[in-house]
Amino acid sequence: MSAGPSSSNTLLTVERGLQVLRAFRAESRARSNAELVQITGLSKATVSRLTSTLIELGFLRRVPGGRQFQLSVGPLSIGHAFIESDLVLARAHPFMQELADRLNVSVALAAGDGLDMLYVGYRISRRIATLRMGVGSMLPMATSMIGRAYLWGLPEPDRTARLAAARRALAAQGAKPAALEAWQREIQDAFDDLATRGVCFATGGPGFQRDAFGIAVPVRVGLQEVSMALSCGSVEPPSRAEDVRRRVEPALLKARPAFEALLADIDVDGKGAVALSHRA
Amino acid sequence: MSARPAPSPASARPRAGMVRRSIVEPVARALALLGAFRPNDCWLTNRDLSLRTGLPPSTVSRQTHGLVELGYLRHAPSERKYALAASVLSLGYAAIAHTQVQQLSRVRMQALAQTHQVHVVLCTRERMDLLIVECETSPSASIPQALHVGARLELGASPTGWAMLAALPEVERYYLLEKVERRAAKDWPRLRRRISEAMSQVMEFGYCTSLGEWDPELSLVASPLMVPGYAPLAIACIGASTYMSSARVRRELGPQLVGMTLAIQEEAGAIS
Repeated sequence: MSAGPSSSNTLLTVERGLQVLRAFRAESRARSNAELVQITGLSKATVSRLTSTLIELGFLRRVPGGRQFQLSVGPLSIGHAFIESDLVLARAHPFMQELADRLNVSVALAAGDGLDMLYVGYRISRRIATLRMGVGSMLPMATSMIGRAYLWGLPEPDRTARLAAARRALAAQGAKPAALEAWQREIQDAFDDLATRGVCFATGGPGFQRDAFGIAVPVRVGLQEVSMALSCGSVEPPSRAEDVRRRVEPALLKARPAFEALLADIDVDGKGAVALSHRA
Repeated sequence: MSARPAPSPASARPRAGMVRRSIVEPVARALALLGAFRPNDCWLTNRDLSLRTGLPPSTVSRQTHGLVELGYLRHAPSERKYALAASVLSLGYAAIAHTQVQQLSRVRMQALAQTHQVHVVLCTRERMDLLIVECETSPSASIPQALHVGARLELGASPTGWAMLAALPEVERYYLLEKVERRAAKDWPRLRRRISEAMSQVMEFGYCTSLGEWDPELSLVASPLMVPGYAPLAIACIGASTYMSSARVRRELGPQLVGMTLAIQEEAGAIS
């Protein structure tokens, strides 16, 4: 397979096209070409060529009567094909549903994706009527509980590198030094919790809706021990949060090794158990 | 239901009558490859992908290599096979898969599927296709292969499409029917008769039926679902013809399907 200049140009073009799609962050909010230029850092001409391509292909649509774009139906069948065929999810979902029903919470499995956590699995207690997040949703890695648990589970030097990148991104978004300091302390608190109790948790606060309760653990998935994180969430008034934590924390700690054991023999990336070190 | 095996919304082959304006081809090819994977087929070879997309093998192998590098495909080197990676979910899946109306529909569709031993699908329109966005199957009825989320049906040839057409504003309906006519060619006189029958059924009863029409074993009843602020939708129940006699559809299934669409409209209206 030649990797000449033409194929690397092609790859760059593909990367940019998908970058424009990703700029919507899997949300239905409409965005303009100008916003997309700002988010992706690509030129105006490139973005407008890519948006019209993505419209033509059914991945974006024009918002009626405006100059903005919205995600269209194209990503649906690709995402669905992944969810339905993935071996990890086939085995993880019944386990997650049982945990969700037993604890009356939502249970999410997320993988790191750039500086975000991408929900790859999500199950919600049958007793909870409203669904707040779902598979394919993205949360910032640096400010969500599931992201902090994931960071804690990463081997060094990955963890330090991701933290540094997250800090740069926060600064680039205009976070003041005081806010960065506060963020750093929150990360440290979460890591302290993870070191001492094995979980990190939050009620409300950054990256959370008001009254939302979240508690997370890092997990290693499959033969390759891929880092991911598992979290339980629910909507609770602050007065009840402590009760919920007391109930959910031991159950999640117990679920973690069972979850890892359940998935331990799955060949996540197709390279086999020892292939990574041999073929690298 | 005349499903056709269009694996990809971004099929590399231009559709008949569709002019591909200035398309950025590498992006189109990459999305066609990602779209070539179907539920239940984890690993595919470059050859499978070439057959499904119509792209030459050299293009496919260059693209799959690149998509592995970007993290959207996984590669099993020993078997020379590729599978979708979790990152494909970051391309917008959540925005389409979890709309409020779909969430409201899902529970009711489930109940209907269980009560009546039928499969229930929620469809939206994309160009001249109907796309299944929710699919509740009944364990006690056999499942036609083309019934899954992401599957496409031809708008003009499917009773579910006719139900949707009946509820569209006149201008939009005429525009779409003209396109259906052009595609149908010789088949148009028959199709036109069926479409107007279905539309008058929808006007009178709120649903239209197709009982054993394309397959004597299978029958269908469909109803439009129009929610302010959303693209037009349609819901269809598909089941064994033996369970779906015209009397039973008229007495039970039809009215219950219409009742369900009204309840979804009302609840969605109350939220927004």
